[in-house]
Amino acid sequence: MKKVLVVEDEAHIQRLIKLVLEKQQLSVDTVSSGEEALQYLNGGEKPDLILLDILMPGMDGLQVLRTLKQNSATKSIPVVMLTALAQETVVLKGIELGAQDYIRKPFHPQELAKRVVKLAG
Amino acid sequence: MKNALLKNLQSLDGSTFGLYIRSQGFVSGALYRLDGETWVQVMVAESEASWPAAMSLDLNYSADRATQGFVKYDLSSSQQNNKGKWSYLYFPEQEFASVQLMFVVRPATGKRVRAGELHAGLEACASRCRSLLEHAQFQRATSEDSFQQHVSAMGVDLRTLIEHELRTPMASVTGYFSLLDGLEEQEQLDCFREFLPVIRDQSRFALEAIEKLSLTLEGVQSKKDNSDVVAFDPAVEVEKICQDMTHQVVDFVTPQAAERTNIVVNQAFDHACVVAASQQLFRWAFWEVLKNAVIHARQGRIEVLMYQTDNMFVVDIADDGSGLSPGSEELVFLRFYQDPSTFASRKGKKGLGLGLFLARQIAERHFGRLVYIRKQGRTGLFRFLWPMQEQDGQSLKKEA
Repeated sequence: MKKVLVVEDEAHIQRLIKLVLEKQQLSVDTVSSGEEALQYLNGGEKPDLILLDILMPGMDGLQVLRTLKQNSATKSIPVVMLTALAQETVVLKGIELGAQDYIRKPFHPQELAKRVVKLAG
Repeated sequence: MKNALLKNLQSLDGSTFGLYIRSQGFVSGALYRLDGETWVQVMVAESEASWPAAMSLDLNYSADRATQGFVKYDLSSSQQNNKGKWSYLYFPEQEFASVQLMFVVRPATGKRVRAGELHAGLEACASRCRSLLEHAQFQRATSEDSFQQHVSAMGVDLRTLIEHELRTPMASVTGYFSLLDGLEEQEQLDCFREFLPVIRDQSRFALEAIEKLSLTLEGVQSKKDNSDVVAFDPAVEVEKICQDMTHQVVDFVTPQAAERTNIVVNQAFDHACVVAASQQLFRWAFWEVLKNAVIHARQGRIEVLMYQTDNMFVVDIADDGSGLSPGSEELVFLRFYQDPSTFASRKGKKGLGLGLFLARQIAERHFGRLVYIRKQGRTGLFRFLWPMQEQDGQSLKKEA
C-alpha cells in the first residue's frame, strides 16, 4: 500500500486529509511541523509522497522542501505543496525548489485525492 | 479648544506606530492629517516594568527631513512625570508627507542610549487594506523588537498571514461538507454528527477572524456610532460575560481543560456604578481578554476582580498560566503579535493576534485603558480601566 506523509499544523485539516486519502486505499502518516517531518524522515521512513503545508510556525514548508531536496535520501520523494496563500510567488518558489504540484486551500477533497493518487504512483 | 482638537483627532484615520525600546519601555502613537495640518500623537507607556527611575526620553522630530523641534519626556518617579500621558506635536497649516521621530533615552547615569528612529509616512490611502499593509511594512522596517521578526521568519508578509487565517478554517468547512457527498443516508448522518463540531468550530474561527479584520481595517472609531453609546452597569455586564464564557469555553480549549476551567468573579464595592460606552464594544473587548485568560490558564483558574478607584471602574483578569515572556508587556497589544510562550496552549489555532490590540483600542476609544501588569516572576494580569459616570449623568471621561 502506498504511503503518504502529511505535514500540516492544523489538526482539523490533518484529519480531513487522512479521511480523504484512506478512502483511496492509501496509508497516511501525519506530523504537525516541519521539524517533526524531518525527524520522521531521518528515522528511516520513506513515504511515496509528501503533502506539505507551507505556512507553519517554526520551520515553514519552503524551508522543509529545500532541506528535503538537498538530501540524497529524500530528494526523490514527490512533494505536493498545500497552501492557503494566494500569492503566485510562493507557489513558484515551491516549484523552483522541486515540488511536483500544489493544492490551494480550500480544496475539494476529490481533487486532492486525484492529484495525490496520481503522483504517489 | 483642547476638547475639540481631541475629538477631531479621534475621528481620523490615523496610522499608528509603536517602538519598543528593549529593556527600557515603550513608546506609541499615531499620525494624523487634517485640513492641511499635521499632528503627531505620542504616548510614553507607564508600564511598571519599564523606565528605570530618574530617566528622560528625548524626542527630536523633523518633518520632510527638515528639523522641527525637540521634546523632553520626564520619566522620573515624580508625580509630574510624562508616563502614560498623551502629548502632541502640531504642525499648523502644513501638510507633510513624512515625519521623522528620533527617540534618545537618557538613563540616570547620564549616559545617552539611542532608542531608535521612526520614519512615518502620511500618504493618503484609498482603502484601509492598503493602509494596514503599509503600516505593517512600516513597523517591520523600523521595529526594534522581535514580533515582526517572528512573522518575517515564517517567510510571508502580514497580508498573506491574514489570508491563511481565513482560508484554513474554510478549507475545513468545505472539505468536511464535501466528504458527506456520495455517502449513503445513514452513513451521511453518522459522519455529519462526527463532523459537526469541527465545522462549527472552524466556522466560528473564520467568523472571528473576519470580525477582527473588519474592526482593524475600518478602525474601531468608525464602529462607534454615537447613538450606540449607552449608560450601563459594567459589573453586571462582566458577570454576564463570565457566565457566557463558562458555557462556551469548550470552543477554545481541550475538553479536559474546559472541565477544570473555573472563573471566579469578585467585586470590591457595594454600590452600582455606571459607564457610558458602546455596550457591544465593551462586551467584545472584555470577552477577548477573558478568552485569552481561559486559553492560557494552566489549571483552569481565572480570577476576575472588579473595583473602583479614582472615578474609574477597574477589572483585573488573572489566570494561573505562566504569564507573558519578559519584555512582552506592551508588545502583546501590537497588531499580529503573538507571544511565543503561548503557542503551546492554543487549541490548534494560532489566531490573528488582533484580539488584545483591538481590546485596547476599544478601551482607549472610551477614554479608558487596558494594560498588562506583571506580578511576581512571570505571572501577571490584564487590567481594564473605564471612566465612570457621575450620578447626575455628567460624564467623567478624562482628557488625555
